[in-house]
Amino acid sequence: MSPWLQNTIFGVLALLAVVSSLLVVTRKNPIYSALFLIVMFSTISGIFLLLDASFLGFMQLLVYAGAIMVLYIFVIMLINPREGDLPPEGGFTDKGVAAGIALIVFSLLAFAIGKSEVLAQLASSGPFPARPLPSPTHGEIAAFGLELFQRHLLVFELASILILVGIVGAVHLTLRRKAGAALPESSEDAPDDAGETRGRELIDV
Amino acid sequence: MTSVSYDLFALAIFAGLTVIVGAGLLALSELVGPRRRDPEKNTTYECGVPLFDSAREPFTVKFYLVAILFILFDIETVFLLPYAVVYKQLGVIGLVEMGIFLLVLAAGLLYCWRRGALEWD
Repeated sequence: MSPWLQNTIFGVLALLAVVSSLLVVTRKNPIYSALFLIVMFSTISGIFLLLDASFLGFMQLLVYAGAIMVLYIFVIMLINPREGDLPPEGGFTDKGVAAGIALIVFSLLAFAIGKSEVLAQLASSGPFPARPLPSPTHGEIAAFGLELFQRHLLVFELASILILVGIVGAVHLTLRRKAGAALPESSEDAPDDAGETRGRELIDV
Repeated sequence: MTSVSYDLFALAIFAGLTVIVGAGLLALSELVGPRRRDPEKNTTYECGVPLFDSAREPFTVKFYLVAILFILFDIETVFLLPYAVVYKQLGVIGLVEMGIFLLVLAAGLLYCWRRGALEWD
């Protein structure tokens, strides 16, 4: 792909990402925000593909634009905000604090990216924004796998702990039961009973 | 042009065609199709059954549990994918790594099972 084409595609995707992010935070209806978030995730996925990081690109699309969005929409429907139901927007101070925090996070990210080795390599190898990573197979699934299972082994194993915490947290929050309630193993004796109380509690939640 | 970006070029053509065909069909039916609207036609389609009330009703948190468990085990699969590609190169060490990873998540699955999170009622 010629650098010119690559830069153009990158520019379009980056612009779309920024515009859709702005639309996410300015829409009054949270469902519209969620839909624009899908657009944003798709543009990020496109940027990954442009960088030859095909695995990350497709996973971004599958996991974020596919699965995570379902969660967001579920949360919106659970809370079920109606027009006029939402609390009034924060005043000038609130917005200032939010902007300050966003600025700090942005500066930290910009600092970290600016210091990264990869960026230094890219900058020395050609025009800045849209250069593929050093080797064309760098983002392919095999290269990604080797890197993940050899160099970033600890992170990989920690990810399993993180997912485990997610599972326990989700189950604990949604299936709240009274202390000392029977575990399912003993509920075999009285299955209807246990099921019914559990059902009732869920409706309360 | 590397082979990777060549594959993606084919994908880009496919994606472009999808958008063109989809938008084209919508535009055509908008331009050419007749437009005779009446209040009955503008109601939400519900298989001929009259609507009771708004679709935006709070629903049980059980759906959320199913969705979040799906995503968590979905992410487990995401990690299995690159492993399946390079498992020969990684050898026994890779097997042990993946074994620990899967064991931790199997503990999570067992927890769900014992807590009854996999049951609907």
